[in-house]
Amino acid sequence: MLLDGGCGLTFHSESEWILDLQPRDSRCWWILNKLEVNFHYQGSSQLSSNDKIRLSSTFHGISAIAAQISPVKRSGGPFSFLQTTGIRTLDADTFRLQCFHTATGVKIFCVMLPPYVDADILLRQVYSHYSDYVLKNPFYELDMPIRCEPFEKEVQRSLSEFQGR
Amino acid sequence: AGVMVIDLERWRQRHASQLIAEWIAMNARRRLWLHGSQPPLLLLFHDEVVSLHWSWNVDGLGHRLNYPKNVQRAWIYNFYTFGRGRKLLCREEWNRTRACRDIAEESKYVSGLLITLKSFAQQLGPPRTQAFLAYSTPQYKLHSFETISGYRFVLTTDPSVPDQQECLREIYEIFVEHVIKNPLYQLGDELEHCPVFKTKLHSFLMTRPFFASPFQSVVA
Repeated sequence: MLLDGGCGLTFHSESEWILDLQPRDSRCWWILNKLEVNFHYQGSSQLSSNDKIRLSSTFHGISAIAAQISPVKRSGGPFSFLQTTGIRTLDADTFRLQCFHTATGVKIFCVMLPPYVDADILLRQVYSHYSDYVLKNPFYELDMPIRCEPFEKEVQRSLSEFQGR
Repeated sequence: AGVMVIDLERWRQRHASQLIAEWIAMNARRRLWLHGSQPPLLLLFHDEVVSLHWSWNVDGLGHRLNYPKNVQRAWIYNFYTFGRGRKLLCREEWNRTRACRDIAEESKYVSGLLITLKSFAQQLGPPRTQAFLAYSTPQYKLHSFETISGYRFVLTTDPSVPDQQECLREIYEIFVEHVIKNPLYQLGDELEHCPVFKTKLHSFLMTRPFFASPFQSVVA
């Protein structure tokens, strides 16, 4: 399913920086941008790191505007301020983008090719790896690019587990 | 406000009125609860209650819209048509809970968003990506259909509504029939000379399952 199609994974926070990493092997490579981790299997994307930053910023803006033009009020309730209003899924004719918004403003999104599955579990796992291996890393400064080997390993593992289903 | 249905025969068998009056008298002597009538009813019938479907409570006779999210509904909020050069040709709205304060500004946002989304999709996706189809947020879902000639048809609905490309395609056909082929219509104008398009649009949308509002099920 996803293995044949390829999958890209990106996440992005409100402030931004850039970092490139060496490709690990010929099949997959990733770039860490600001708080973005990008995996692309089988060269399904030819984006440069600048492109990735630009696209993530675009997505951030799109999500904000989409929330602004909403025809519906946010449903009330004691914790309604925690309810996220950004874009959750975005469908195009050849791919689907699914985004997970955290309460702190970090966005984690992945690009999938058909057949589409719900990648919510994967995105949440990446978030949990982020909070375990990145935020708890004493040498990591907030909003700086991510250079944490355990984080990449864990994300890679989650990705292969998810794709192996 | 709530709705309560009582079986009066069983009420009389249970001497419910009398028992409730006793509870209320007890409350008057020593404050047992804060609010008036519901606690004694709950005390009396606590395990003999059957929940009614939410639609029994037509609170506000149709003016209140804060119904629970898990209730089966699929609503339509807006329909837009954009012509060449981001011009808004047609805008319809239904069921909005958040009013639009400035239509011109909103149409600028929506048309700009569509252009950005299309180029975003083409850059991010695999090489042969042509068009952006839809996005959804927890509050609503936006469907878009763009023709090769540059007209865009946009529908905003509840997030549970499935893909509407076919519906928008049919609306495009209605548009071609009653607007483009209309001899009085100049390309790029708004749709004053095409009242038939609006009536056909409305009658078509009324046949869609997502057009039904929850009140229709109550009336039926």
